[in-house]
Amino acid sequence: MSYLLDEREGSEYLIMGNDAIVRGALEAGVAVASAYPGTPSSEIIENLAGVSKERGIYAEWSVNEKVAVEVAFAASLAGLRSICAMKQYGVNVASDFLLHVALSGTRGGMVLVHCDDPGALSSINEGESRHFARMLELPLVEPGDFQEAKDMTAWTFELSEEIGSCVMLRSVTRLSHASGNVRFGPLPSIERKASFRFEAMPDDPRTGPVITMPVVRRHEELQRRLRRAAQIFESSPFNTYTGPESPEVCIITSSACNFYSREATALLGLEDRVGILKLGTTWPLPVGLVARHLARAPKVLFVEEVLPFIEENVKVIAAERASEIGPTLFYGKNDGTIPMIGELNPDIAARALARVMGMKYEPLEAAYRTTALRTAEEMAPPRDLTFCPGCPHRASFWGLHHALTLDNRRGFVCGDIGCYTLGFLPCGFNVMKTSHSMGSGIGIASGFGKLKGFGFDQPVAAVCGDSTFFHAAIPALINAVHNQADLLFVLLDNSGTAMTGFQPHPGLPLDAAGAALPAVDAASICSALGVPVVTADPFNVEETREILLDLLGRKGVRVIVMKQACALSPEKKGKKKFAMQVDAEACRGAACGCNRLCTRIFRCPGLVWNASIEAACIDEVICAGCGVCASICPAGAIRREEITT
Amino acid sequence: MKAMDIPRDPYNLIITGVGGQGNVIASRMIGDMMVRAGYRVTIGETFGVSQRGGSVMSHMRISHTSVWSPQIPEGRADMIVALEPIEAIRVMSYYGNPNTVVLSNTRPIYPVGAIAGEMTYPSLDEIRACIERLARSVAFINATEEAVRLGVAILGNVIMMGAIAGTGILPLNIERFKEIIIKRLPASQHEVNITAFSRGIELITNTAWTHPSAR
Amino acid sequence: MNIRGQRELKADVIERGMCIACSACASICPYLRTYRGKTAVLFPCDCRQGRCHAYCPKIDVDLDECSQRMFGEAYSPTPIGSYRAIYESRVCAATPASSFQAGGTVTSILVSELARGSIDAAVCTGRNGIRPEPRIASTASEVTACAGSTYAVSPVIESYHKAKAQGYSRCAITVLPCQALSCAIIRSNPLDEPGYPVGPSLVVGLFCTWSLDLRQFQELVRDRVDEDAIRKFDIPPPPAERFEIHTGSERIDIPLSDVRSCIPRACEYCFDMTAEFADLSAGLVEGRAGRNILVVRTERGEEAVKAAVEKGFLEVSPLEESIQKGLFAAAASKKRRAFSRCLSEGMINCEGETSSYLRVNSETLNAIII
Repeated sequence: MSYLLDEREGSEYLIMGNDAIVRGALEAGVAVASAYPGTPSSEIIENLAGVSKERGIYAEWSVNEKVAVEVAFAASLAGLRSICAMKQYGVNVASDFLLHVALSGTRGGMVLVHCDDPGALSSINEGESRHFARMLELPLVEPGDFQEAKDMTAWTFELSEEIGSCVMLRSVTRLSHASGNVRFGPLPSIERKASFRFEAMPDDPRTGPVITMPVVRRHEELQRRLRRAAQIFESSPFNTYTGPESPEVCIITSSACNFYSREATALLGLEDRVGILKLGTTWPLPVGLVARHLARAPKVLFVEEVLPFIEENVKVIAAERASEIGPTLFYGKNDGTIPMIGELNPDIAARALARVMGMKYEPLEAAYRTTALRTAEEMAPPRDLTFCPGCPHRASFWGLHHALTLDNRRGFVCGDIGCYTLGFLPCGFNVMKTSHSMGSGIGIASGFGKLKGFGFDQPVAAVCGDSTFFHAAIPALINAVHNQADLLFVLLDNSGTAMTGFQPHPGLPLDAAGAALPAVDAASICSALGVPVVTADPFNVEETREILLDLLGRKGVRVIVMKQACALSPEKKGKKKFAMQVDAEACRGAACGCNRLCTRIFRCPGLVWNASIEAACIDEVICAGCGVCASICPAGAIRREEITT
Repeated sequence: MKAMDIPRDPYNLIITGVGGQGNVIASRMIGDMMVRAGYRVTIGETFGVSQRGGSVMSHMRISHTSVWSPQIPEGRADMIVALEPIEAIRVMSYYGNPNTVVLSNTRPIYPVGAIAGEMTYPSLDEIRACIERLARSVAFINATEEAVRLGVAILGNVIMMGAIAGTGILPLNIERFKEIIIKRLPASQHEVNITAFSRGIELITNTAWTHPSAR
Repeated sequence: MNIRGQRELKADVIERGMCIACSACASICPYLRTYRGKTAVLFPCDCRQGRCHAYCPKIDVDLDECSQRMFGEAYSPTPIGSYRAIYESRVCAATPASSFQAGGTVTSILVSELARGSIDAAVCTGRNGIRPEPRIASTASEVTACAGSTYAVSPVIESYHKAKAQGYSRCAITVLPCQALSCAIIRSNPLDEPGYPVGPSLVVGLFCTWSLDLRQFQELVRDRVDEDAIRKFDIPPPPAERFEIHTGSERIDIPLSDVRSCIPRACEYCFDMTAEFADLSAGLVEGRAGRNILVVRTERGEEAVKAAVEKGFLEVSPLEESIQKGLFAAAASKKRRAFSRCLSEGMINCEGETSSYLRVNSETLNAIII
């Protein structure tokens, strides 16, 4: 990633939106960067950590987003520029603290980058985080392309210092993980001195102690800051209008929807009839600017995702300035022109625009379309999500499924967030029966574990990854222990934050830049709570099942740590422990006594059913050599031989 | 065909495959080469969950003038390059049109459903027949086989990149490739990558296209 | 027999509450297991015909077919089924001492069979607290460690399947009547498999009026006694109406009515008190400690008894007529009650697609119900 350090002003690169944000932060001389991994935001801290030595940056993978924002805030108080990055969920987690940051104000420029995932391409909800800006009363900006991702990031640090407030910068997957040409600006010197001033009276925002009281007065100051931001936004170069003076339709858009709006207009050949107001500053809205553009056109189409944030806020302006802007027809989510769910794309935008213009949008001849879709349906089998070959979760869920089924009391697992969230699918033997936010599995289980008095007699288990454990599970685990809930806490320790790209967490002896740090032992924390803690290797299939069965029969909180590294971890990637082979003669195949247990049920991608010889076989390219399948074959036909180097 | 030009503006290229095949790095490298040639490029991708055995696509927009959306509109793919054959069908069904050119690897990666014996994976001939019905011209390359011969199975993606260059449709060539790998790959890997790229050019030059007349 | 697969086994037996956890279906394949007295279906299997369904004694059992194979005759309406001889029996000097439930007959025969090498293992049941625990015994002491009744169904057939997998090819097995029926089916190669291994070498059946659901039984006993201290169970003859638990130091009584509430539903449909499909069946002599009633049914059974007597492991004598009459009356009563219930609930000789629990010729059926 050394191109990020290119000092030549004007050098141009093809880079990801997230990298553009990184470069913008570097051009602003950012000093501290903190985050919790979350797709599509993880590359921001990864890359800042990658250049931390050269640029004198402290980059931290914090235990969760709330703490990450607290760490960034401290830097701001010490007069340093700080950046905090997270996916959309992270804002929810940090919101309590953010509410108070809004009220107390900041010192060194502080930027909160939140990357939403419309359409939930890598999430289990598509919740919007823009509404937090309005609710918490923080300014919000949304870059509309890759160059802006860099330029606006650099600018927000200045903005933050100008008004004394944390600024939210919102990106989306289709910007963060997409790439485009970006021209670089200059890199500043990195001389900085951190110092926290607090000697003056509390009223002094720059040099007094930092508290949110008296609350009403601070709130007044906060709103003054917002009004100053709105003033600055009136003339911001990031709010652009392209198109005719008096368009038939004015599209109001932001973020990646800027791309879709422009492409839709081009697809329909409407460049001379349709104007596009791309807003880069979306809270507080620059009222004058918006009203001026609203006055241009009799029809307004809002193209944004996911919820009608800009739409509804603009409609407030329209109501207040009705006489100025004249009668206007509004189209967007509230009237169903644009869907209120899922992500947008050029086709959705084109269809919407066509509808508003009374035109038809038909990208392809219907007959071709039908043939093409039917062909794909018949000939392209779908790809189910599954665990990687060699994934310890497959083995852990195998053990859990067996134990719960043998126990035969309708026991179930409350799930959490990570690769193991796939535990509700066939690849995890459908073991998980609830799945919500970080750390909620153990919280929900703590609730179930107290329902005995209502006749509840089902055994409860909660699964939680090692990263999730540090992020949010500890308080709920303490809750369960203290309240004597009956549950089995299964800590799936695969030594990393795997789903998001194998970032380290406090359980590992590494920091964001790969340097050594003391590790915190999760099992010891559980023991310190005074509950029985057992460690098992899920790859020892028989033994683990027996341990689980025994634990399921007991009362109170019991903890089992399933310790086995992720197949993609540095210690394992590309290395096989065992050479695997199937003895086709011994294989029972589809006959009674097996009925293809390994390929039909266990379903590791490294095991393939060879219909021509009616036996299973190993795909050596895909097989990770973990050896687990040898333990499950009822005929002992899968053989494993340890590879000694 | 002009040396430094693209047949349409924007030129829409989709590289597709299964998570882990090197889809992303292939699209980045092509993007880099096109940026060096003076074009504006947008690449749209999805990672994360799709890596766990799922289908992946990189949408590439190549233009002289504008920055286009990271998603190609329905039916607007000019070229589809598939690192895995049935992904070519899947992508064609939504983004293809009768003028699309398709370049595909031959080696299958079976979906878990097919591995489990629950669904059938079509034969290469069936796949070829399907794509021929929908596209303007189709060529199959044994990219993985060749990569294995070179000793590095993952280089299938670089061989396919060479094949794209070899079609002559886009201003890509070995010199440009050499320039950009300096920034993207460690020195120890340069030689084998260059060999793979060259091999890709060779392969496409010697491969029969279906409907070769209209290219 | 109308053999189907796991899907039908689940629907027609397990979900209908007819599963007794006899374990005939368990551990033949990866999908069925027993654990603590319950049958667990680990994963769905779509085989159209499976051994699980074939071996199950609670679905599609053709009693005439089974009888024909074992005894060369249709199912007998006699209260205790087909038999060659009936004795009173008790352990003799050659058998090591143990805490026998009554006459130690089963132990003696198994020890004798091992000694003469006609079996390589005896799959019998020991106890872990209240829990019956099958053991694959290959020595006399391993057999004697299993003496004593356990009252809940033991998954002994599952252990038999495991013993075969471990390489034992001539197993004896001690079973309850439902399990003896499974063993008869197992011996018959119901799916006509080529190269099918021989079934159990010797099936020793135990008399049974009813069994107990292990988990409910454990729940009942839990607060009254420490499981690990239990030495023996006993049910004294009426009018005692109590269930006795003997520890080393005391005897705890539980009202028999409480214990009866733990009887599984499947037992109400069971017609067989004396293990009619075993080679040998043994039970208590009411009111006479230290003795057994021994029923010999097959040539194999006869051979085993003869050898045990000859080598001084077992002693047999003619059974008193009154005792025999009492046994026949009790057995007939259970049989009549069960068949009547089954018939009235449409579980016998069903036609077409409906699965049938039992199939038996109408002449015998009428004779039983009268």
